[in-house]
Amino acid sequence: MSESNMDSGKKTRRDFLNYIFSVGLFGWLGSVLYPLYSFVSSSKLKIDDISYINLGVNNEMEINSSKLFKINKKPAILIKTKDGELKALSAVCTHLQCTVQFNKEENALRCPCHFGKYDLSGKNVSGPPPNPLTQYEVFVKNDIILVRK
Amino acid sequence: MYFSGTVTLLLLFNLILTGLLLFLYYKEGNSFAYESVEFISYKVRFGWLVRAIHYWSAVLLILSIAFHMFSMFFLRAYRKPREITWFTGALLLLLAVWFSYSGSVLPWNSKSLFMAQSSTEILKAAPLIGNTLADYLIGGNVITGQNLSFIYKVHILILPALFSFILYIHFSSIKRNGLFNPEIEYNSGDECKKKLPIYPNFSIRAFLLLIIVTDLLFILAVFSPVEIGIKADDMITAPQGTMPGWYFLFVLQLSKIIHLFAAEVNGKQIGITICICIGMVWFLAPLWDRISNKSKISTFQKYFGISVIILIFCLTIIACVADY
Repeated sequence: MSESNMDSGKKTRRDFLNYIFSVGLFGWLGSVLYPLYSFVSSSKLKIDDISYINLGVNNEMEINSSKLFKINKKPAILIKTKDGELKALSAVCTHLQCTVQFNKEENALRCPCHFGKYDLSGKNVSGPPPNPLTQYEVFVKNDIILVRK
Repeated sequence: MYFSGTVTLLLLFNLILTGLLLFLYYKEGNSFAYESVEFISYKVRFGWLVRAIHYWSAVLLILSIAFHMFSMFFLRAYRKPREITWFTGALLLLLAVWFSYSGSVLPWNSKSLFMAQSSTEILKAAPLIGNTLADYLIGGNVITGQNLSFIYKVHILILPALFSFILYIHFSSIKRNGLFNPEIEYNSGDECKKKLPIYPNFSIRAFLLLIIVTDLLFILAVFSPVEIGIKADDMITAPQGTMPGWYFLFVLQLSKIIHLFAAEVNGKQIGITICICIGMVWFLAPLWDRISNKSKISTFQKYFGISVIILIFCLTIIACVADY
């Protein structure tokens, strides 16, 4: 039967199975090799390209407190307000680049160099600072505070 | 059963490949390690996948070496002339655990730091050798950002070199004595003395195993990827439910049980001492198991093997369940 099929050039069941398994095998190879190729070809990326910064567990940060961190190699400040709201701002004073501090009593940001004052949204309220502080997007995922660069 | 060694080799191949890929982007040191792992996981294309496959390959490698060793123990494959194969195999299991332990520190997140610290504490409790062992494992008494570099170098240079050397001896010994086949070993009939040809019979089976193992790793990596956590800092409290590496859980649980029954003794020290003693008896099986021969099985050997497996399995399960 099979010999006569082969003689007449007809496809046998074996040919069909060979075809199916070959396609499957190439599909499998592709699904393994593509991630490997993509991984290696990502070498142009730089570590600074990480789009957000992990600032620890939200529950462990006290209400009405702040935390300094670096964003793009410059100081920034994370504030947890009295209402539990999270704010992330640049900590570089727009006047003469001093690092600002969170003042709990005033519920504001103060620059110790020339007494510039910003509110918690980063707006320059009083003193010499000419511009507001840059605000960063902050969000909480699985109770981890993340700040987008 | 005969393919447990092949699965182990395939997992090792996966580990080496993914390890080399991670090596391209990982940066050691307190200030870079966590950031580079974050970079690999979030920025590098399929970085999370490569990292998860590396992790799951390591877990399965230890399990498959252990399974391979248990099966060889019950088949009494350690007997003359295969003692060297047995000893080197047992050493390879220890090295695989050391690999996994050192690798678990490298992501430098809070969970990995405290997990490695509690594993180290268990090892340090070992009488006489504990502190020296910790010195070789982590390059000091406690894990800090400074010795992260030491652990990394051990993980990528010292351990692979040692592992390759012992694996070479393991294979040389197998080559000299032939693959262990109980059908040939325990049956004298000529029909059993068939050898499995390497090509195509063995090669095709090995290739099918490669597909199955790789698919299993992909499934595990996709459905249970490795988390990044928060950056390691020993000034913050350990995350809830921090436990030593899963391969040390039975030691921890044994210590807890000892402490439960005798509060005044050092449960950790007695627990690790018992485990080391049992391990030594297991390791030295070719020396004491002189009774069993081709037809006769030693009763002690059989019951000792079963007890050890039940003990490790039950203690690990209890430790996992107790955590919840």
